[in-house]
Amino acid sequence: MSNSVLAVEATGIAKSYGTVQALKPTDLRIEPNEYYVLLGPSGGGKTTTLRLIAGLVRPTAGRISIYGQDVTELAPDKRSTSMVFQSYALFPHMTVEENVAYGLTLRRMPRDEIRAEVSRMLDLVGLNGYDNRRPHELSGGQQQRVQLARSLVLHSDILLLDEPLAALDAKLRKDMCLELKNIQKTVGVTFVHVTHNQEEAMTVADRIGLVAGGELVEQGSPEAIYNRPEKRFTADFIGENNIFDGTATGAGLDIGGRVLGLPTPAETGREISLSVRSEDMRLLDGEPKPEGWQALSGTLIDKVYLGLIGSSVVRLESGQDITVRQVGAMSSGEVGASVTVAWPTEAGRIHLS
Amino acid sequence: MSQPTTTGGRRQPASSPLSDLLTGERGLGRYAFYLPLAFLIAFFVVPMLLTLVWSVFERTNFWMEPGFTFGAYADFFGSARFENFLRAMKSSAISVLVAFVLGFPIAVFVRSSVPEKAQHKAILLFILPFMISEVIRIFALRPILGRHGVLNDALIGSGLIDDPISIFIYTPTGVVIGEVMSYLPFMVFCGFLAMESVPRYIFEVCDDLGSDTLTTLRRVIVPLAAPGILAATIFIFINGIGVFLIPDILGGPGAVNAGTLVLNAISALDFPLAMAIAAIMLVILMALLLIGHWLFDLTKLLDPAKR
Amino acid sequence: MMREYGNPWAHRAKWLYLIFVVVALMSPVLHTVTISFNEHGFGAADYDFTLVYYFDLFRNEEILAALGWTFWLAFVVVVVTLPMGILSAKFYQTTRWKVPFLLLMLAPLFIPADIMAAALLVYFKTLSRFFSDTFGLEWFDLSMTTAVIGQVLWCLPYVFVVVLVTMARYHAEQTEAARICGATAWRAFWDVEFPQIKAGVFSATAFTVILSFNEYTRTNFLKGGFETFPTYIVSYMLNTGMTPETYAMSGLVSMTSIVIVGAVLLLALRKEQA
Repeated sequence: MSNSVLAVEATGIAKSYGTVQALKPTDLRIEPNEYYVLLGPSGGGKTTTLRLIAGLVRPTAGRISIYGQDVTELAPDKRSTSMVFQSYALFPHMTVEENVAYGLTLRRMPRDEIRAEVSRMLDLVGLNGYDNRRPHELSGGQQQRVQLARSLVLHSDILLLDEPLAALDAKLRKDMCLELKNIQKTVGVTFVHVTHNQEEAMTVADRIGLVAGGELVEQGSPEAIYNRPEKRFTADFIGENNIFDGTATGAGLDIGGRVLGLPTPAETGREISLSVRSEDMRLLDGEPKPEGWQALSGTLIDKVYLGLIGSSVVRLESGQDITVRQVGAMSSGEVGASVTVAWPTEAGRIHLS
Repeated sequence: MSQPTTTGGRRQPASSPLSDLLTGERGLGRYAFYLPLAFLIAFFVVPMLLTLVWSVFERTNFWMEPGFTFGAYADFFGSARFENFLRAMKSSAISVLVAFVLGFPIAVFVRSSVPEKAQHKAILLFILPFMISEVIRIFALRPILGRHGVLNDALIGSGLIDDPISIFIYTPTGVVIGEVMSYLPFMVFCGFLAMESVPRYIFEVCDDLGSDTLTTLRRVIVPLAAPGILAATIFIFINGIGVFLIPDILGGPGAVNAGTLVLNAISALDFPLAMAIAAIMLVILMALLLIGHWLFDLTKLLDPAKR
Repeated sequence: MMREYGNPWAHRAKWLYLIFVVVALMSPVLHTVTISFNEHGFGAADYDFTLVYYFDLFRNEEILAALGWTFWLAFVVVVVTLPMGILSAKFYQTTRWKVPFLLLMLAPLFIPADIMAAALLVYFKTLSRFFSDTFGLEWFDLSMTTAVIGQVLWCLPYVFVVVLVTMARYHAEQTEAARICGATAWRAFWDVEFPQIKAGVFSATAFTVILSFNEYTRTNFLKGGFETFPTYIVSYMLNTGMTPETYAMSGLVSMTSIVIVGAVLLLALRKEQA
């Protein structure tokens, strides 16, 4: 195995149903052993992408390869992929053990080998001793673990996860995220995980691909996507960012009357956007604007104290609402007071599209 | 952390090439799904449409030969057959009305007042009669309805009448009784099916507004259940005209409907006439379904998405 | 739910009416069955229980032959209709033309038995002439085959509906999961989906047996060279009227159906409690 071979390589894959384009022609490259997350709003095409890789959906255009082998024409049972579904995917008439063993029984593996493999996998996912339970006797989290064991036991090249944690409550989801990440490190298989939940994506991913409107908008490490989003959509979707749209001028960004300083100069006359993370902004309590900062005045319209963070909403003169999140200290201003929002110029990020 | 050994994207197949040929994605097996469609076209659609063609064929001594004549239709419309046919339509319409009056309130009652979980079970009670052979059910009415039958005995025994009533059987009334006994459950089924899409609170809202039962029925429930009532009406009406068993067994010597006419024509080896009557029945059915569909989208009954 | 401020007696009266109608619809058959066990037959003042008329039936060669044909026919019809019903339900789930297909599937229910049988009779006669004149074959001569086709048309809509309703409760993700575990579509169906729709298939089987067993008109038109139990009874009744023998025959047919329905209901109830 050479390392230059990609785990998944999709070129120009697209899927349309009649006139509806679920996925526009897209290229996707996933490295071996990578934990790749497809993140995006629902109906954006991320599940379609996953199902294309699994072979559950036939692409209307493009090719898909897994470890260099073209699998576009292969049925799902002939591809070396496994999948964890959101829910209802366990076989209710089989025990946990039979569920996990199902794929191995199809391969006509000797019984004692199956038994050993299954119990090894149940150990791995922390379900030791649940062999003879039926799916309906398990909690939601346990059911997802069984699905995971059923997928891992096949030692497929790619493990696909379709919103695996969406049906779980927030606390459990957090724990399961860390566990998924650990399991992936242990088994060293390429994981492709679909979710609409940012926090989940940030926790597990080596690399995130943002999918929306049937397109792969942007991809990169969680850190890069969060701190250095290239597209306006990414800045809008990930984290809590304030975005200013306007026209670039020699002096900065013209947002209709006001000109904001840009971290780097932009081509004059071009429509661009500037985004600033809400935690990079501050409310100035009467103090002067520091050197190298941008400031806008407005009215404080809402204040929420969230423990670690205080969040304030300021309505600018233009009518745009700006969210400011500050650790610890809250602005002393009352709702309705005139305030000034400010941020260091270099905290801004320019989006050309 | 271990370096994974990959299988190169392709999995060791669990199936043989031969079984793939039969049951695989691109195997011959996928054509099996068209089998029911093919069967229905070959043995239902084609023969039913061909009745139109055969009805204009020339009659020969024992069979028919290709031709184009309206002789069979002239024969049908220009004889007592047509009068009989009209009489069957009238009696069938009466049966529909009686079935509606007796059966529809049951559907309303079950939908509005029976606990949600028990509704289907209550409705399923009306399937029981269907589990018994139609012929047996109709024949079994003879000892009930006759002059010395169970019904007359009961009426005399209770002192309501002194002499047995002979109108119950071998009369047009007998035919209506037989049709209602046979087809009443359809009114209950279809009425209920249509009202399943009516949320139950509607009935309570009507109560709250203080409208009396009849007004509620006429203004709210019947319009909502209209597709179901119409489907049942068409079914009962067409079968009333078409099924020869009921007039044959319960009607008098003169009781004739389209089914009897077809049967007699076939016995007389007049195949074009038999096919002409079948074609007329088919056209009436299609026309009623089209009108019904035009008035209230009948597919609503069948397609849960449209409810 | 009962309407809480309604009159409870009105509610009970409505229930009573519902039960009354069901009993009234069943009464002719129940009456026939009762008479069939009376030694003195219909209209007698006395009632003495006897099985003698039933024993007579089983000594009658013609009746035994008719019963044999009836069960054989029912068996063949089940074997043909069930797979077709399952296939058509699957076809319905995948086709884009759902409403037209549904209408086509249900249409045979709307056409009176004798009208459809007459059209099929002429169709088979035409086909039979064509095959014998052109190839010297005896295809589509009135026979078991033609009777089976007529009955399948009658039973298929019911099987289709019952199977479809059962399949609606099945989650298709499980088939996908099985496929991804390495099962072919065929294996996935048998290993995963079928065990979960078994109950529906079982009721559909019972339903088909009853429908076929009781069918008269189509069978009478399309059979060739044999009598089934219903066709035998009807020709007997038309010739001789209601006699103790006809009561016993009617009783036999009715009770067969009642026993099958009862067994299905009992099994369903036991499953619900489990």
